[in-house]
Amino acid sequence: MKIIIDNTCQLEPERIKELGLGLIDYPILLNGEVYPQTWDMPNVREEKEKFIELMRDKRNKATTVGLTEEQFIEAFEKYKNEEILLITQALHNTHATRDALNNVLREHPEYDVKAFDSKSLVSGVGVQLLALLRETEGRDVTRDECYNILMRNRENTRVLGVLYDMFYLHRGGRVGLAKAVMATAMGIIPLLSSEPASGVIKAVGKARNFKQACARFLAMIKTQMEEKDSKTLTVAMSYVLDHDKECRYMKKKLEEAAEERGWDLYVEINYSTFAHMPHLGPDYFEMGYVVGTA
Amino acid sequence: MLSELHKKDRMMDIEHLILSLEGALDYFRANYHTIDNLNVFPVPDGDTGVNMLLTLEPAVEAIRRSEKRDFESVLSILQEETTINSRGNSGFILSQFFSGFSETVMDRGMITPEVLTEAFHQGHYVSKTAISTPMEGTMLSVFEAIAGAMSHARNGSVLEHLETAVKSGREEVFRSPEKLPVLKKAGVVDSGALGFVFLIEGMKRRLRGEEVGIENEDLYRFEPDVNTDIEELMHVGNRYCTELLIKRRENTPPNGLEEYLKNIGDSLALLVKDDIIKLHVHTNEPESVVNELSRYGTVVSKKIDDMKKQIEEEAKLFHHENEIGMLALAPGEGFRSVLHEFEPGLDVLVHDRNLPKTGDILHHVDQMPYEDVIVMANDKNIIPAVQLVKKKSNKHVEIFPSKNIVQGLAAVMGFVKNLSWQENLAQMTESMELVESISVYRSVKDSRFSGTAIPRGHYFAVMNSDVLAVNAGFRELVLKAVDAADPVSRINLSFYYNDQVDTELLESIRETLEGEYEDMDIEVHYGGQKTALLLIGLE
Repeated sequence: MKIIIDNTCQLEPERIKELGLGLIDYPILLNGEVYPQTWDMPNVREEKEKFIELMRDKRNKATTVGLTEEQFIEAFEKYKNEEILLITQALHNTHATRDALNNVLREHPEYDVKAFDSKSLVSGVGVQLLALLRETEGRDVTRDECYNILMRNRENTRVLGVLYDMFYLHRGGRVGLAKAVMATAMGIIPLLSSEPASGVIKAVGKARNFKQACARFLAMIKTQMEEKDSKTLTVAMSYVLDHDKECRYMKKKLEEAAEERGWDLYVEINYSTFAHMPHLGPDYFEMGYVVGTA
Repeated sequence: MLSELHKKDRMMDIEHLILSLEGALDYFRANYHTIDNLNVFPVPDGDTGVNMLLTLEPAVEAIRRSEKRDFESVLSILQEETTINSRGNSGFILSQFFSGFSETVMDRGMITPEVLTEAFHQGHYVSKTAISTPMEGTMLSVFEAIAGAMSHARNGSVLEHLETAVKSGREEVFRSPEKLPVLKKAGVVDSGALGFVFLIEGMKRRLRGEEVGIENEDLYRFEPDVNTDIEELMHVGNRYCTELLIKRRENTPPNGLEEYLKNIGDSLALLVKDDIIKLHVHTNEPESVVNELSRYGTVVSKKIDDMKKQIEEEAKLFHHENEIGMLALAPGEGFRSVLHEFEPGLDVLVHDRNLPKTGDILHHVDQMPYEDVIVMANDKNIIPAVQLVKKKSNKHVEIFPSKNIVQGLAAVMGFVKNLSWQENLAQMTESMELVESISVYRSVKDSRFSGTAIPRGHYFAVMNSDVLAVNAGFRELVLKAVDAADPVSRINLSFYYNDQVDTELLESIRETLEGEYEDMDIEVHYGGQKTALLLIGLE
């Protein structure tokens, strides 16, 4: 079985190679032109930071576009003799991608593909894969078993994050969300969350600094762990530039909580992929987590 | 800095034109949420304001960056940038207005009252002819009304013409519900039309040297038609707002394109130029439209929005936005600004040593423009009064039982006015639980507190009803109290002092603590509370 995932999953190239995943890149446009980037391009970290610098100049407009039928076919063709498990980001926001995928699945029965919509965004996608891999480690599992595990975990996945600059989300036309946080005072960090049931990103409060943000996030995770009566937690975090310090701080706090509460914890930190930068901007960190199982 | 335009000037130079465009943008930036909130036509997806903003913003930014300062160059940028960046129906119409307006001014090479009038007429003509089904009661009617009013005021100055434009534009905006039944049903004026008036208002104000003002949204709302069917109002025929910018491969005329688009959708706005095709259409078949347009060249940009979803989200947010208010009771004037720093617009009722009366709180709650109100007590002794308010008020009042202002300040960090009161109470509780507080007092007589003897004139610190420390010196007391409150596990420490505290001494305490606990952020705020000398929040 071959797992194919899209580049919204927030896993770095080395990790993707290590896990033997197939990968599809969402294209990026900069000022209307396709911006050259792939998940496995040489010097990818430097290339990302170059792109972030371009983003920082607010005269530059970066956007994403949906995946095409050709991209799906190209990805499936590489593994046409294998069973394919495709994991995608939430498709209810990207109807062009959803339609393209449905067309390929309908019109190309020669590819043995089972598609799983993670109904999540950013690290919420990657963490569902990581939770699956944790649970199936060292076991022979069928694709259907994997799919069922993914389905179960999906409902227990949540995304939390901090965007230090809301301009990009606002410019991307996500007006409802922007409205929810625009009233927030300057210098106050809006805390954002998305849940799989609705997929809607919402503000869940604010913080004066990243430590406060992490404390709130930790409190939310603890509450959810208690509600689900779970001792197992899988977390994937992503960041850009030097916001790894927030991720490392959060990881430390999670580890302290795990020790105190006897959690079986797995945490992974990755540099953000290109796919989210146009919407999230040049300053953010976020995390996806799955409560339970394994 | 460039001076304002004189009242009697009959000529506007290029610098004043740029100044007025910047004024328009600044005014719109400050008020575009009002436009979003009023948006019901052609689709109530709440984005007219942001679409107009994002149409104009890049143009003004590009003009600012440009070193060329002549009408031809500046207006070419305005034309080009608004056309390329136009978003939504309103953005498209606005871009075409600027296109016609700019043509006239570039042709005349100056701006006089007469040229301004002609430019408005041309702006109206170009925008109206770019739309497949121009509608009365929209921005187009405002262009027409302004141009007409200016024609009748030929002898004025440029500034007087702009004043005429604002006046006639506003009058036309209030006529929009008569012309568009959907507006009457919803009880609002046309958002795009009002948006354009805001732009002209911004120009006028900047040229007069006046500040940007915040518009009162309520002025543009009235009683909706009682027979309005909300479902009908929210209905979307063609679901996907599809916008494309095509770079044309060759200059062949796109014969039949308009006919094709009219058959496949509505709200059609199509601009065909030598090198580009700009399209806005509402359709249920966005991909077919993309494929059809791809025949004429390369797709430079594509935006497909699901308006049904946008409407659902807007409706949800709008509902909450207008329902949830929060009143925070504060034991000192200083807390008002701290609370506003965390949540601008929060209602704050400050009390002194005497606790607020039920009637005062009730009166304040009744004055708030919300039907659902959360009252944050911030003092356990006030909770009974708030419970009475809950009983007596005609509004839905929920009590947030914060026992002191430090808890209240933490809870505010979990408040999001767009969410429901249930979600807010849960989030506020979660935030509040992250903080503990210490109160520092000075004993006026020999006394005992929780079994601890406190000599007269000594300072003492209380946490969770326990005396943490007693000392004759304020500095020693504070350091001792913090030391006893597990400081290593804390990330933030906030001091809230009153008028009796020596601020220099407090600053030195802060420096000592910062040296001792490097991982802890320390803040100092004036609280102005009447009882405790110092409140310490520990997170």
